[in-house]
Amino acid sequence: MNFLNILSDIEKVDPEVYERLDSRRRVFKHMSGVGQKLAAAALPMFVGAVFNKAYAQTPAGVAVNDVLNFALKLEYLEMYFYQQRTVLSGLSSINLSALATIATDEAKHVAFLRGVLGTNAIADPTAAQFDYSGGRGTQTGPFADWRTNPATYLALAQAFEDTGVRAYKGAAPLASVMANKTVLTAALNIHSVEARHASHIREMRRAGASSTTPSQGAAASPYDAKPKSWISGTDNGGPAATYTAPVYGAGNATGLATGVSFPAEDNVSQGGVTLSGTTLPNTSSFPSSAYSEAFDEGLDVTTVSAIARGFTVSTSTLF
Amino acid sequence: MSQNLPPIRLRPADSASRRSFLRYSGASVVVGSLWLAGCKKDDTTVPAPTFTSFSPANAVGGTTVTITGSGFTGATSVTLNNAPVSFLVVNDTTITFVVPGGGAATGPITIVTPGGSVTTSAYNISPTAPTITSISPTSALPGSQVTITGTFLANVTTVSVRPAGTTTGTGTAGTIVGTPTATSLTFTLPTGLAAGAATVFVTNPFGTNNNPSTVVLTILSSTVSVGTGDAGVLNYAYALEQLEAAFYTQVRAGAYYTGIATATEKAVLDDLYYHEVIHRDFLKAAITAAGATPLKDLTPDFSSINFGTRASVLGAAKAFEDLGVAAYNGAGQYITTPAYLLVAGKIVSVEARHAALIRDLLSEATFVGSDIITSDSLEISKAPNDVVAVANTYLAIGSKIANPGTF
Repeated sequence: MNFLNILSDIEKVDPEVYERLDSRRRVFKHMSGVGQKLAAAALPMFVGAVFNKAYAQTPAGVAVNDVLNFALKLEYLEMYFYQQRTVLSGLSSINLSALATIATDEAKHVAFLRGVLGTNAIADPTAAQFDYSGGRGTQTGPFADWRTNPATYLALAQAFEDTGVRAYKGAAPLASVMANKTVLTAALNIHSVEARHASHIREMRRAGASSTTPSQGAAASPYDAKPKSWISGTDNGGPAATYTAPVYGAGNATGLATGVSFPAEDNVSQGGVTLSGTTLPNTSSFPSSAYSEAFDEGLDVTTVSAIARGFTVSTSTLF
Repeated sequence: MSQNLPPIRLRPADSASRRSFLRYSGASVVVGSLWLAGCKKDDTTVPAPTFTSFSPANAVGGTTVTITGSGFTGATSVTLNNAPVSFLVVNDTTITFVVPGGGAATGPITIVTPGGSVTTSAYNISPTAPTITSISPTSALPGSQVTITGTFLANVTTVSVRPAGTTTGTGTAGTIVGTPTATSLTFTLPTGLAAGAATVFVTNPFGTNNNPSTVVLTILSSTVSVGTGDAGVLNYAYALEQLEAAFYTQVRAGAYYTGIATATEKAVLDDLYYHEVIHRDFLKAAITAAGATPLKDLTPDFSSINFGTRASVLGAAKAFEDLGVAAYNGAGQYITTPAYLLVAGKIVSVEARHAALIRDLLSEATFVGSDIITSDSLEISKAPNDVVAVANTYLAIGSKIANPGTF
């Protein structure tokens, strides 16, 4: 058996085989398929060991770490936001308790992601890198009263949670994430917690910050001020359309896998099916808003970064 | 037709035979009194019965036997092997009776009249096992009822089903429903039967049907398979969405929704109903569009849910929504097509929004309960097999989901 011939053969299915054998560059997405083909090749033991080492050493993969660090940045954005809830006034105790729950969750998400990333984790950006007023460091942006005014605070919370849900969703179909089932499942498990947060923040907004029964609040169209727990259309641009419309708008899926796209939240075309009472006859009596409500949409890293950047100081390169 | 006449033994109308009669008449004071009255009236002129022959010489259950002899007028009892039978005194020299189905056994026939009694030699009953002519329906789910048509079914003691793949024994016993007749028996199939062509056995004291292989009962599968690969995952999701959609459909017809729920709660339940029906029908369309076959329409079993109370409805809604989230989260890793994973993500976050609100309706600010997250505040995924174990408690036999494994 000629070792070079084997390499040549493997190169046909994995053009980067030489790089794997002799450099530290690891390309995660080629792992699974090629690994199986190699196993079938029944290489002599010592040659097999060389390949096992070359293909097994990739830790979480470069791309996966990028994705995880991106998630970590968003969790920092949320964590420091909720940490500073303490000077709000006019919130009922049940609502204060809910914010405490969310604050704890976000802090734990930060800790979890740091644990997964290990030494690959980004440095803690610290609270100083964020300006939740939207003023890019002036603290006098459109949400200047965010620290004290519960309405402003909850509006921002909704925007952050909804953005988080879209960001995790948009990252799931990335090849590097799909190839790492542990990371994918963890991302999904954070994703649904963020969605629960979003649902609850929306309850608090429609019932009012002082309500003691937030779940009983009535939603009111056009859902910007009194939203449903789910996104109806684009919720009229969200809590403050001038600034929050991108949270509910379209993203950009250029270069992503077939069938992966990031339309605005009012999208009603799913998996090639345009949802309507015609295409889904059992739903002919349903309100048209139900078709967009039934599906949340994903968002790409670039678009999410642009949204998040608006809440960092102007000198920040975090996003 | 009379043949092979057995030996005839006549008994005189003496005091011994009267005592013998008294033993039989013990069950009937009225009959005994009539006889006593007859004795007083004309004790010596009532002739004792005599026996000449019976026809046919051998019988099976259900056969009408004719006894020929004399002195049968006023006969009060006919027994076969000491067991009373229904009889008819045709005239003084002829009695007919029907051999009981199933339970009759070879033995002497005793005829008692006011004049005495006569006991014949053993009358030969051919032991008669039941037979099965047909089964309705011919295909049935485990646990459902089927009706057997055949012969000598009245005294059947055991009905059992031997599932496909088993070649010996009589399988697992079912439960007889009501009282079978000679020609019809209804029973409940055992649960847990393997799907496929099964054999039904009926057994009475004389044996088991000797024609089991001529009538086949097809046992329908109690579970449905979602399949494998991405289509399997989509069908798995479709099964769960069917369950949720059916649940909210029923909720909206229940007394809690129609009479108790607040306006907000009704609006929420309306939206959940819309969303889940859309999810269900979208998945069906998407599975079809992908060239795969959607799962059949599942039959739910919500008998454990009280649709009239808030706690029961919202408690079940919470269970379904939390289960849905855990299911999608646990199945994501089995999806290989990015677009499908994205669609699953689009649905699961809406389910999570539902779950959070339902939980809050039950108890404010419990949208992320410690029961559904880890200590890292990650939602706990459920493996497909754990999900279907829960879902199956709300699905009827025949609609239960087989373990999807890893698709």
